[in-house]
Amino acid sequence: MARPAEKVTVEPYIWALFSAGGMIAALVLPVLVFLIGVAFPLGWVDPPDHGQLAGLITNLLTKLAVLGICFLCLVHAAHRLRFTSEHTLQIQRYDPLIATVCYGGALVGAAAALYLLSTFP
Amino acid sequence: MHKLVKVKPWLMPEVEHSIEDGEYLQTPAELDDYKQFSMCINCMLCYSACPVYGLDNEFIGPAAITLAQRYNLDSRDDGQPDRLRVIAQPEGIWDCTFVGECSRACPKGVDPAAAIQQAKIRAVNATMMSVLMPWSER
Amino acid sequence: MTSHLEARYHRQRVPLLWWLGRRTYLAFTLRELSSVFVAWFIVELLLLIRAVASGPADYQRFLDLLGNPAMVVLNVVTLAFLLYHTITFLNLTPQAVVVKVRGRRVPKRALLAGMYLTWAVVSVVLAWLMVS
Repeated sequence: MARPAEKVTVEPYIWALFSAGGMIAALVLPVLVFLIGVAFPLGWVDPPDHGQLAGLITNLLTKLAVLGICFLCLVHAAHRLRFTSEHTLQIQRYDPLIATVCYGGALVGAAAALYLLSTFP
Repeated sequence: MHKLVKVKPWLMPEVEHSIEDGEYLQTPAELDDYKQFSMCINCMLCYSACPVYGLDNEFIGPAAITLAQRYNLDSRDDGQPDRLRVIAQPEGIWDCTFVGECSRACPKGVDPAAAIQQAKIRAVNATMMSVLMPWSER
Repeated sequence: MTSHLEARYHRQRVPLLWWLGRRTYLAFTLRELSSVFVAWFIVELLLLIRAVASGPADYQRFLDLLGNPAMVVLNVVTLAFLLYHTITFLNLTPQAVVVKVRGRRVPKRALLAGMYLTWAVVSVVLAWLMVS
């Protein structure tokens, strides 16, 4: 049986999540930032009223989608931050520590999302 | 330079032909699959351009990975698992952050950055397959 | 492992600000830093959901907070970086992904058009969900 890696490495899985996260972030986030961060506050578009938004979020499909989006985008950001900090600050020798902090942070964020969504009324 | 040899840049067909069997046949379409990556003249400008290589000498580098991909994509070859074992390492393809400078520096238009990203996807697929279908030989 | 030959080669020290040295290196570093704003917006999204969960009063308070000029500026910057991420990510996709239809390679331009079209469709659908 041919295993692709000489030493077992978790990098392929991380990279798969990272690129999925990148695609999701690319397709989904801009319109959301535009609406939530710019159009609603500046009055260009009326924000949904509480009932509408709550109704949207409470749907199980929405919750699953939002959880997926949060998890993948956070892993994407963690991965880039890990490599960028190592390349710009030249601290590669601390990679195990940096990786743990970055991906750990992403997992914390994903756990927070899970908690918020599962306790959503 | 030893990195170029490390990736096993030779054909490894599943069934070797003897001299009497004749040549390995390949259609022009199959040639096109890897032709661009075969244009490398080993000038190593990509290594000079790559910031990751500059920061970490252990990185196997653009030309080596492109060379591996050139053989992985060759229809006459079945050596992908062996090569992936060499390049799908943390100091192999996973060190690359797709800066893209290697492709910009390449005088022959080989586009090593593309080869590396494609190799990453292949490595992910191979890993998934070996986990989900460990009985298969790929 | 460096061979005994390489150990004797001169290795230039990479300057700390190497990424400022070329426009392409800077563009790359900014692209990578856009991920900070990805993470930031996910935080904002979760805060919004928390506000909605707390009730109409908290939701309104959150909207008012977003209306603060400093927040608007921050979010405009966030939007700019997220757009930069999207455009660079989509533009790089044809290099990384080879799609073959009936044995022929799909040209990069067609793939790119497909990606941008997908982005437009997703955006319209999400906007419709949010606003209606």
